[in-house]
Amino acid sequence: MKDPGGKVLRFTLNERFQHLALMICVVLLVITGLSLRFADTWLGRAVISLEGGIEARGVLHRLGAIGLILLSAYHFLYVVFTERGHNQLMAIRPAGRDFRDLLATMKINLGMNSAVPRFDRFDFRQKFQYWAVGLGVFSMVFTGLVLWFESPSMAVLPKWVFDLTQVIHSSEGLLIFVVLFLWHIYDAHLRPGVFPMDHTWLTGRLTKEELHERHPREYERLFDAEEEEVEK
Amino acid sequence: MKFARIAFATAAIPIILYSAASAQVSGCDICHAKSDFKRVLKSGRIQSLYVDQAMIDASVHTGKQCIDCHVDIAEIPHTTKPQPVNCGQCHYEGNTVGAPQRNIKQEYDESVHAQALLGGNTEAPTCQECHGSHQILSHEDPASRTAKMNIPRTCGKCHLEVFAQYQTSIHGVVLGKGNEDTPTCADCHSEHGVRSHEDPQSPIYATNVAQTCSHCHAAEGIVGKYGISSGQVDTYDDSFHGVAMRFGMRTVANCASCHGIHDIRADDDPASSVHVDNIPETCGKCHPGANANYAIGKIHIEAQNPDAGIVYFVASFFKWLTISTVCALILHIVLDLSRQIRNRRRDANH
Repeated sequence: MKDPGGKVLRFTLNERFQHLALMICVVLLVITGLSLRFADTWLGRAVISLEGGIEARGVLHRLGAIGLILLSAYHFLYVVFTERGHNQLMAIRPAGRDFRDLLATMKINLGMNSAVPRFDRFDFRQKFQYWAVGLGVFSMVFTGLVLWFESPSMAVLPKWVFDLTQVIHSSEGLLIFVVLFLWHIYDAHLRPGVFPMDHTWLTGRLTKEELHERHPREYERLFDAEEEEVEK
Repeated sequence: MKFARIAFATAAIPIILYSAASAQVSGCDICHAKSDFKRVLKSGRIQSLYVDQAMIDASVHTGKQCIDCHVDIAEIPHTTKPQPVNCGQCHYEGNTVGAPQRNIKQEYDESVHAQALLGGNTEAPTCQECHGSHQILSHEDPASRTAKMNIPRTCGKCHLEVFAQYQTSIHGVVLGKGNEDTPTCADCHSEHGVRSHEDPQSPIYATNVAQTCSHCHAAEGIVGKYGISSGQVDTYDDSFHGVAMRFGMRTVANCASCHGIHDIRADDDPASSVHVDNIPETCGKCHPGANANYAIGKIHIEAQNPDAGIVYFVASFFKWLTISTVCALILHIVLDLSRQIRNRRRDANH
């Protein structure tokens, strides 16, 4: 996927819309969810009143949940039934190399000598984040539905499982917030070199230089073959 | 000067007359000290008009004269029936006659009892119905109608059905054993200012119930003595019910929704609404189709407390997972930043 401007298209418009929809749903869910978890703090109370009260908060949270469920279903169909989506899924599969890349990166960060890992289309952090989001969405949707439809779920679940579900849903929500805030926001906004923002999520594009620096293996696959062709 | 003198004299006349009248009325005992002094009512009933001076001497009003309360009697023998005594003439904040410094009359005026009286209910209680008249004793006196042990019976004169329920409740049974730690009517409903449960200012209004029960059930010094957890109100506050209630949702359960009101019983009492066998029915009042699952697991749990079992362990797991994730991510940011700085320096040196 190349275009003439010296840039490489990494994410199609469809994929960018999926990311945007995910962002909107997650931000809405995190704000409406954590305000309930921290309902006894002044901040929690302030946010709940901004949300229109405790009942409106619940409605907004469920709207976010419906959005997330629809998006997940769409994404599932996308990666299973479209060629582009399926190729992306194959590219983001975890592989043995990811673990070696992780070790190499840690060595370099600790100041030890190691070969600089050469990433393919998705580096190990991107892969981990994708699958962590997948797992997170799955378990949050599942536990959330149990809490949402409390009477049908309590018809089959004992009280203690319901309590457990509540604790997991609430604690995992906080964990997801922490990871998003300290990792994804740092990665995509605050890191030197990308500050104030990595624009890929909007443009879907990287320059050839950026691709060469961040994803050298993919760069080679895309351009070295081309250069060979030109040489021939 | 002359005018002022006349004005003063005119103003003084009623005062002098009043004092003279008061001074005159001092022989009430001529009639009322006779033990057979009585009158026949229109209904044919005989009403004793005997007033036992010993009774007054033993009461909180010892030393008071008859006319201190019966202010409408200006001469004896009086020809009309005395008006009911208005206790508010002394019982207000700022009184100088030694009555307690409380605006009891004002509290009473805002109560359901006063409202009923104003609405024309002649059965509605005034001060005398609860406190008596000539024999008023301090509530600290065990013989007083308003002594803790006697309050249920005093209220029960009118609230018969509630009294019967209370007598069989855990609170009533414990009171029957002579234990004064247990609540009687006034502990939950307040005394003079009894308000309807639909009045937001009432201690038994839905959103105030937990606070009212917490006076004892969150006090280790009271319920702790009997092996009852003092954390039940906290765990309620933590629950969905408690959070929603604090935000003003009146449809969620408060303490009384599950435990009952005047018929609260211990959870091991088969007649209790929170007995394990009755939980489906109790929860079913709000959660249609509630079944035995509702009773599998503790109801009042606190995820931060090891008593919560697996819920506690999972909550702790997440707590430490979150803390270590935060540490790891901060470490990651520091390492990543320092690497970038190193790279820049190296590039600058080249």
